[in-house]
Amino acid sequence: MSEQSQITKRRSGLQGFTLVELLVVIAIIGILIGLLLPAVQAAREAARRMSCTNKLKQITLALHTYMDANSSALPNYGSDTAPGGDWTPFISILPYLEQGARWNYIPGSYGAAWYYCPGWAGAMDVLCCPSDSAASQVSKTNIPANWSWGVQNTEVGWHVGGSANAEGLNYSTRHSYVFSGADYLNYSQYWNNRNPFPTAYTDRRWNTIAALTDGTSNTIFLSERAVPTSKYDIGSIVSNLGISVVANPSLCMAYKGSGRFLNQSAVDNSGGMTILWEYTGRRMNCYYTCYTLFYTVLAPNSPSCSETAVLGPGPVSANSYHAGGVNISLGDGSVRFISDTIDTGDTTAYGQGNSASQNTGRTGKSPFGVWGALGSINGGETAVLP
Amino acid sequence: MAQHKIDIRVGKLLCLQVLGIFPDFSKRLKIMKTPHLICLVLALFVVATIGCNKSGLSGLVPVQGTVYYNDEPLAGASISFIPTGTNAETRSGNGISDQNGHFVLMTLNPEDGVYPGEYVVTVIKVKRPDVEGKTLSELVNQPRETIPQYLVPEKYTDKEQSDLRFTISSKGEKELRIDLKD
Repeated sequence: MSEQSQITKRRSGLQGFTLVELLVVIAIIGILIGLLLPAVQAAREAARRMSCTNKLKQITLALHTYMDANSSALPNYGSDTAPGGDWTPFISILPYLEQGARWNYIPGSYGAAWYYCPGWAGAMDVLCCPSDSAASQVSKTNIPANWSWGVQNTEVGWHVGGSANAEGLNYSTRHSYVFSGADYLNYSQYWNNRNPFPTAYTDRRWNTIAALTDGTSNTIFLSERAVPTSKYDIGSIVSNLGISVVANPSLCMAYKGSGRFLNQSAVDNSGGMTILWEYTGRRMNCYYTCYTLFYTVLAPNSPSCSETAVLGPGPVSANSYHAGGVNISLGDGSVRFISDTIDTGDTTAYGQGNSASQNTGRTGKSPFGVWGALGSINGGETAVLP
Repeated sequence: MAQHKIDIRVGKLLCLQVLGIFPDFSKRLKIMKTPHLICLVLALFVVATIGCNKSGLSGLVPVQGTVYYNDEPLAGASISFIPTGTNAETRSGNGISDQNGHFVLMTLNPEDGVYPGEYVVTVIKVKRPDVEGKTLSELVNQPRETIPQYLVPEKYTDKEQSDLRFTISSKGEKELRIDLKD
């Protein structure tokens, strides 16, 4: 073999790739793209979460603006003018969320004007977390002329919102965020002396910022609680469980299923229960726990339960579409991400007050660990955010 | 974490196998001297990208069993494992028994188990107020029951009175038997 041909052979060997090698390279590139695609999806969710965080902060800042305009008083639940107490801090802060038009529609008393109020209609962007797609799924138009909500429903119907007013559900303003009820389980804010937003129907009519003796940076104002989209959604309230679920809130944990769902077989095996899913996030103007409150008792993304069939007391938990936790806002205006694994102390402790005697309020340190301590305004805990 | 270690090991082996099929290619890339290192880094990267999305507690052990009432399987009961004072962890385990009285305990996520340690156990089954055929208004105005109608002896429903005590070892339990007697 001549020297010339040897050189040619070596050169061709260096220049060429075999088909198999090319295929392998293509396969590796394919795998890398496959790895990258989920990462791109994660980036989308990260963007949604950021927007979600921002809205939570806007609401908290609106609460502060309200305080500035009202002698440092925080907005409360219930009012002197809306009989039945259907008033939430969401309504109070409307003017501070650039929703003055809605605010001007809110009537001073119950009745047809309240039921038909255009202030409850359509989506309100600042209340909708982009990760919680069901929140913005309401008509953006005004209430239709044939809206039958007020006609069909008594005060009870207004609170409960069963199938009778499904039409109304489609039009009422939804919200991804709920106010803290701290660590005292009830059906509303009654007798709750632990949360920043009391009801006007107990002796404590409102809080000033000075009442938050644990410090504003150690007190939760709001959290996420996504709008449930089906019966077995994690946000649905497993109801009619009896007093034991208030005596031992951790019983509710066993209804947790995989992902964002309840454990269907556990729910079905227990029997005799009602599942409330057309509630949370569907009435920004209702003071019942199942609509606008959550409790810092069970960890974020835990199931929610209720003692009685409808509107009962029980652990209603924060939840979100973000992996592994929820966003919360604190009294100082900061927004933090709280992991599902946050210390919740002894979740078998009595959920209502310090003893089996009901409706006495709770005093002293929260039994529910860091999560409960962040909920209470005046528990005297030294716990701080992890 | 144990799961991740296995994932990484499997990934590394797979990667070495793939490189072994194409010795020429590997040689040309001059990585044959350090295939183990390269495969380990690749496997770590893959596991870190796709394996770390789960949030949960570490140190839990799986526990399942069956609950009997007078030697009959008890269906639809809420079983609560409440740590006694000697436990370092304060998190409780919970489960609901199925038609055969079988239950799997969970702490934070479905079937994730409980921390090893001593527990006092409560078993609660109540007769729920009838909701069938009632209107919403009747349900809303239904009075709260002050004394629940337990379908099991009352002492098992109270963590102060219950004499059901179990110690969960670090291996967990596959066939725990909880016996309730009248």
